[in-house]
Amino acid sequence: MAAVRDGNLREAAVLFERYHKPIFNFLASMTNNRTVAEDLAQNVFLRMIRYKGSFRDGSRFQPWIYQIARNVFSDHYNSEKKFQKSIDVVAIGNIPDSDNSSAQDKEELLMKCLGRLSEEDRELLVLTRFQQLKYEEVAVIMETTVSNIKVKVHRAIAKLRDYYFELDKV
Amino acid sequence: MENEKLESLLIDYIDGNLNDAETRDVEQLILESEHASMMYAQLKEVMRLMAEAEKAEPSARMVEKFHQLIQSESAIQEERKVVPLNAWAIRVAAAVALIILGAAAGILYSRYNYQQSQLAFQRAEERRLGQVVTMITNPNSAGQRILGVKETLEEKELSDSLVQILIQTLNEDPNANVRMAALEALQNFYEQPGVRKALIESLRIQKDPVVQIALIQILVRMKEKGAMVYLRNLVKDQEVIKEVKDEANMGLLVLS
Repeated sequence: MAAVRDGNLREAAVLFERYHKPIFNFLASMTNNRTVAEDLAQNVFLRMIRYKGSFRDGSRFQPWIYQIARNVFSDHYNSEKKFQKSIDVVAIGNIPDSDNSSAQDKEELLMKCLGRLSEEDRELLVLTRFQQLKYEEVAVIMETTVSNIKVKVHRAIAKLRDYYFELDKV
Repeated sequence: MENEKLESLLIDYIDGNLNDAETRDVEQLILESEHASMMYAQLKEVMRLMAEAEKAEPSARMVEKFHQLIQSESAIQEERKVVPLNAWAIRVAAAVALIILGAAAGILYSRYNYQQSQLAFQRAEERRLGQVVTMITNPNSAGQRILGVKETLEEKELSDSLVQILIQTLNEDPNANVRMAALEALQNFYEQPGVRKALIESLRIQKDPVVQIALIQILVRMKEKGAMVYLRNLVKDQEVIKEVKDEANMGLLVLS
């Protein structure tokens, strides 16, 4: 990233190659919409180039790019949330029967439950469980302590379990 | 044991974060307690699903667009980079010329230098704003249009043509979220010519209650008495929903 910051934009292609899939997946899980996630991921890399001067020597690239992705999502979320009704159990529609449901059905149900969590809880689970980043890495991204992240992740998993098995019974 | 503590312990157990003694205790608990056993099975299932969730593949379009972005940003950077170098060379040349040829030649070089840098800056700005306009008018992606509208917030002042594009987006975009983004952008530039009038006029055009309510709130905050005629029309209109009429009534109270 230091090379990109110093004006070698061709090096940005290497970073894009390495990070565009995780960043796209992070945004796809946060928005549950692939088209929007692609647009937002594009914006993340646009900001990476525009704000390359803010990357500090000695810092790691991964937390920095995820911080940009969080900001991009947050801007998108704030502009969208006024119009989105929260998902409720009735509105979700056909919930697959647990005994017969396929892996895909289960994943769909999981994503719906994820959508019911708060933005922060969803973000924590996407980073630590879907993206499988370490608590230490997420703590750097979120600028907090590892123990704080751990407590919050455990609570978020517990909430997700409640939603998942509550909906599973519907 | 409290539920929260039990859940946390079970999560650590599933993650393999417990020492041998703690692991034995948890395994014993799972064997003895039906409640703990059920909770363990459910947590394990949810955590497994998260870990095994299918990773989505971005489309080839995204990769292609990134390479276009790099090309366009490189071009902008080159234009910006070339100018200071030229400026430096020209400054040195101008200084020598000043000594040799006198003040008149120096002034000529300075003017040339200034014009070149202005020209290069304008080209870079035009290119950037061109990208913004392309995003706002992208008919295939509401997300891109919203991002384009948000890019205008980076500007201190908008060109007349960009104001017109935002007004057109506010009144004609098929997506309510895009119209809302345009409304939020325009309210930041309400002091620019034509924006206030366009916002008042838009009250007559908007049919989506969310946009109508947001527009009324903005006009009331702007203390725009010119909106009162349209607010009265909204109150009388049979097709307007109650929530919008209430907001219009509230606006009329504040403005009168």
